[in-house]
Amino acid sequence: MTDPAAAFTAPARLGGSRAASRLQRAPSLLTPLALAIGAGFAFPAAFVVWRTIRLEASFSETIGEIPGPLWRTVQLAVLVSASTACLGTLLAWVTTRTDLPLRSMWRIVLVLPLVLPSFVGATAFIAGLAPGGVIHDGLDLIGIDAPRRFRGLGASWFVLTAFTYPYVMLPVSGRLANLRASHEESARMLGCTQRQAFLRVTLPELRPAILGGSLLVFLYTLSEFGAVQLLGYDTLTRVIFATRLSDRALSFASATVLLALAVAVVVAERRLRGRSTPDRRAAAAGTRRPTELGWRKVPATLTCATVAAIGIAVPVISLGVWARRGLAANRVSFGDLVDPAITTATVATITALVTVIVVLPVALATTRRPGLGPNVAAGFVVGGFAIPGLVIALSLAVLALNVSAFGFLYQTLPLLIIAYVVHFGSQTLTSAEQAVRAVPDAVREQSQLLEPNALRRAVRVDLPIMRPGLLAGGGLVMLATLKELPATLLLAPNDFSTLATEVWSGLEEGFYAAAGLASLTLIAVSGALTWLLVLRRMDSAA
Amino acid sequence: MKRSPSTLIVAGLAAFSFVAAACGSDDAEPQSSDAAPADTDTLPTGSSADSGEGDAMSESITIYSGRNEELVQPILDRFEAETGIDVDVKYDDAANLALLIDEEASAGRVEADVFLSQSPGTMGFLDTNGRLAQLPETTLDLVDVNVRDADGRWIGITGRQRVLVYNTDLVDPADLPTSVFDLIDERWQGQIGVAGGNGSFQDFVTSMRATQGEDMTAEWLSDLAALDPVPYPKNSAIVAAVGRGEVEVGLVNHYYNFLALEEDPNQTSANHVFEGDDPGAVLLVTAAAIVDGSERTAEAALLIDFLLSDDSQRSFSDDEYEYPLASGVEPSGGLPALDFTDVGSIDFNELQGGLEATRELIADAGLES
Amino acid sequence: MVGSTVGNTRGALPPARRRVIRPSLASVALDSVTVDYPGAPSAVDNASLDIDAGSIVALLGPSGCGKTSLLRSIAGLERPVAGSVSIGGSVMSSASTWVKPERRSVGMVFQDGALFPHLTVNENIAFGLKATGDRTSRSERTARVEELLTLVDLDGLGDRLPDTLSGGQQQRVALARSLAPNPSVLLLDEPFSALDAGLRVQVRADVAKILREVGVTSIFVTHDQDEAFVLGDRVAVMRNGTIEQMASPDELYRSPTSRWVASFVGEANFVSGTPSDGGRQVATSLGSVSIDNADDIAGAGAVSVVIRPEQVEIAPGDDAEITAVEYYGHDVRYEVRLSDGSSISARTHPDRLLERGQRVDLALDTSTKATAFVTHADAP
Repeated sequence: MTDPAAAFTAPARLGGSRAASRLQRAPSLLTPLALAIGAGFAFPAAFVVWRTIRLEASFSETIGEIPGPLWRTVQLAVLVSASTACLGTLLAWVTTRTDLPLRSMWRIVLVLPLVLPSFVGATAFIAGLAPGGVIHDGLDLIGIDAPRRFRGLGASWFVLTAFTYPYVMLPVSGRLANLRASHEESARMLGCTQRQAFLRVTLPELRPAILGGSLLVFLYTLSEFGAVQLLGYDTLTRVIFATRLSDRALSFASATVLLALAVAVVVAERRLRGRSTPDRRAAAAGTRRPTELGWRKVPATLTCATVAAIGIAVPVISLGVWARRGLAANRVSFGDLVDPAITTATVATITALVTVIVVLPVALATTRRPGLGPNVAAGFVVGGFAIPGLVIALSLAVLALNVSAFGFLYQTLPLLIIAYVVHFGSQTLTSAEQAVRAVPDAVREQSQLLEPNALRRAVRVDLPIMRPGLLAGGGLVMLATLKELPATLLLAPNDFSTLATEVWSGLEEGFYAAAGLASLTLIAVSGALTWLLVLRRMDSAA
Repeated sequence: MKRSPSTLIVAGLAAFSFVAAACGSDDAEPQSSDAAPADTDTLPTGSSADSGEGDAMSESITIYSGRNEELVQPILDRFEAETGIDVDVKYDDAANLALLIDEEASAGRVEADVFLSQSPGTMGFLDTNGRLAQLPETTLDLVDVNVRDADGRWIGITGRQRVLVYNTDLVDPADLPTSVFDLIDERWQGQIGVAGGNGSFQDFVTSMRATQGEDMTAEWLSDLAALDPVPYPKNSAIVAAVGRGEVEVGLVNHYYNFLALEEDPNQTSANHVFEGDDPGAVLLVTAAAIVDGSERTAEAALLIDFLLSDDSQRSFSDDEYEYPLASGVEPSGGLPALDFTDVGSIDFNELQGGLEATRELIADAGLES
Repeated sequence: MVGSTVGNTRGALPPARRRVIRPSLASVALDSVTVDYPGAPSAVDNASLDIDAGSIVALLGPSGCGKTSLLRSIAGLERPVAGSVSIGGSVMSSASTWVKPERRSVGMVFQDGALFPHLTVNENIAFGLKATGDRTSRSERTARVEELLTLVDLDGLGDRLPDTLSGGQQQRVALARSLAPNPSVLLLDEPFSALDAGLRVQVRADVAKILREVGVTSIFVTHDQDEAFVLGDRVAVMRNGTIEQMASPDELYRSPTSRWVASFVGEANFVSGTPSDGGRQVATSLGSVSIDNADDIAGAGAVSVVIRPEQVEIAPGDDAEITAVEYYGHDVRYEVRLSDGSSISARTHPDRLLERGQRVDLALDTSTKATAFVTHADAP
């Protein structure tokens, strides 16, 4: 954010908020547009419910069959959301607000666990625990015996936390960077210690960001399948998958239960965000002295290093060991991965762009025309993340197969991209909402006077200001798309392979060398794309 | 290895169970008749078709493969080179592909010509729903009658034997049981890796139901559950877990350990084969079928024939340690000898409730997850 | 709705109000304070300042002069790299001492108000009452919040969220909030700059009145000379990190110690002349003036004299020409071009309004003494 913007939003605020309410009364197509987009996102959910009814699933029978998995799913989702909320917030604060050495490096490294598909992360992590594995030997050095078994709730909680905390860390970092220093300083002047100021002032202001991130983690955990299966934790998704051929009614009914859970959580989160109206003013620039950590630099650095080790270093080393064995024996080579890598990068980039374009109207509606309609639309967008990718893919396949207007889309890339958009739109929404809020009311009003053409105004004024937020949102979708598997397998054209499908293909039958090499390539491509398309441009925009 | 004749019961059941399937398939779409596969003019789709008959071969063919790309693609590449027919492949989990083929057929579209599955269960699902076409007799004749669908709608390509994989550091081979029933022993309390939700375990249980009966199977499952076996999602995960000593033994298909040792020759795991006609040593087939409504049945049959050719069978065996099923092809040197004509397979279509009943049996024992 | 108008009814303070606001008056002393930011010249360079208990002092200077950094080092939000800060005689910051901001008993009002957006007005005001070590009971707290709301004339708005208040109201809540814990010193960082012009004058008057009522030692930062003069008992003028001059507004205006201060605190004509009588008189082209700081210029050859526009008398005549007229109602400002080409500005009563282009004669009001500076060759 720029200083001049900050300087003139504040005085304009008074007039600005009145003007904003004037604008809100003006008729607009935004709300209907948002609802139409929301309806698109709601399609897979509607399909699940419709199938459940058509297959005449018995609700009471379903509930009778799944109490265990349902309860375990809820336990895991609650635990992982809570721990990622704490860890993500802590890491965000340490890397944006303190004098931690190398903190700009940590800011990038600590996002990397997001690039690993969780089933790969889990497999590599488990391999690391085996004798000869990197964790096993590492623990050995400090005289600790690695656990012989690493499974169940605790293991799943640990691994999912290690791979999903960036969903909280990223929005919280963004919010922290935008918060006014004066709020915390006011609290200090009113007698609060630094810790009290954080708890009483900063934390409440971070609440929407923390809640939004934790919601993504919760929904992710609901739809997670591969990693928890590998870790021997039985959840609702296992029922959906295990019965998909043998008892389709139960499978769809379980998916409906999952949906109901997701809806309840989305609604609860929207409520919890509560009355704290987001600060629509641009952030005050000015000097903010980083908090001096002093001796706490040591534990802070250790924490960052441990998290990075678990989330990225351990998997990469395990994958590297596999890949090296294969390369040494000449069983695998990078050459086979060039085409999948190019395909993956292209499709992910297109998907990110399309998702941002599709979700932006919803973000505009929720922030500029708040009300029930836009909220419902936003709920559908967010809910798409809770539906397992296979179910989304199946619903779109059925749509294309049975509705002649969409028939031409079947087994084409556009349909696959639609599936990605529906599945991952939620990851853009929060960032897009923040991006929209970053355009100060005064700037919008001023630009309306200077540039009557709405489209050109958007291109010349709004989009440049929104750019960092939109890039961040698009970046998350890109990362998610790069590693997406079930929808890619089901919906992609024949002979279409991505790096994720290559990884799957290897892991499925235990070809660890091939899987390791493909995973490392996936990590490299993800990192390169994130830097080229997102981080670099965000810096130049700032 | 000597097999007792009683395993042949398994084979006999194949024929029996199809009868049950034919009677039980009520809600299925009308299946293609038992007419010869050349009789393709009754097919429902309206897509423009190359002639599927005679010498005019279509230029391409679509395969939905539930078998792994690493295993299958080299052979398909050879098929392309030798026949000039382009092969389009979609790889996914066999169950997902079976679902997709079912949805496509419900919508009146035929996208896949050939379905390759690594588990008989998915073939059973599609056959029950009437989604598979009759295979030509010439193709069916390539394998022993024991390892194909009694009614000729799918055919075994390779075999995977059920074994007990064990950690060579932790287990004295002398302690290993001779029968899967003897595995029920406190010695193995908490030490057995099981993939209860996995297709291969389900197929193994289905065959046990067929050979040993419902009650005995249910009893064995609940005895097994009482030993607190450790659940895993799939065979490769069990082999890895045994290799690192997380569990001492695991119920898996034989070839995963061969592949694992190829990846890491230092891994301390080995296969143990239950003796004789033990249901724990059943041979599960990977199978191929032509999708009902395909307009390229001739090409499809050609492909299946190719998979059963000596060269392909040998590479399945040499490269992937699977048992060749085509008559007259010997398994590679690495594999323990197995007289496949002695080892039956099962028609999994509708064995008294089919897949669903098997799943319920496993779930009731508490072994599904 | 209670508007932003200042209640004219506010007379003597009711007894309750005295009970609530009981500042413990403290002096503030800065000794050779230097504040550095990494990679930049010192924001504050060796600044010293003594502020009497109970007085209101303005830190006036252009943006970037270091005035905010100086204020923040009093608050404890910046740690000076050299020098010491004392409040009420105890050292808060020195080479060997550091008192955390929350322990200094200092209140601060920020430029943007910095109200906590998630708390109501009442909760914002009560915020400092719940901080460490404060044993105030709930009922006492409620009473104090009520009294403070009355003090800043916002009765009835206690349950509103900050977002729903006008900028002026927000600033008054911020003031009430910082006064609630009875600070010994109140710091205000450009408290009115975020308000638009009309509102600014109003809120400034409100705040001035409240500060006088409460009597707390107050230091505020501004770049606006009017604001500094209206509010401040004394004004410290800062430039490039140093304090150029600290004096009462009147002294600052009449006897600036440098040409820069002279022009920063108000419009100044610099008229060149020649000193005589040991510097007590200077002869200029407009006539002779008595000089206040005779000792400074005694013996100099050439000086320039600070002539405020209101000291220039103009009447229709012949010497010069009016080139611009600005009519303000209470007075009129003229720009006049002299025969030598130089310009001078003059302010007069509007009763004899002259027009642009009219020729006039100029004279100096000799009733007050003026300040003169020795002219250097390179002086502007």
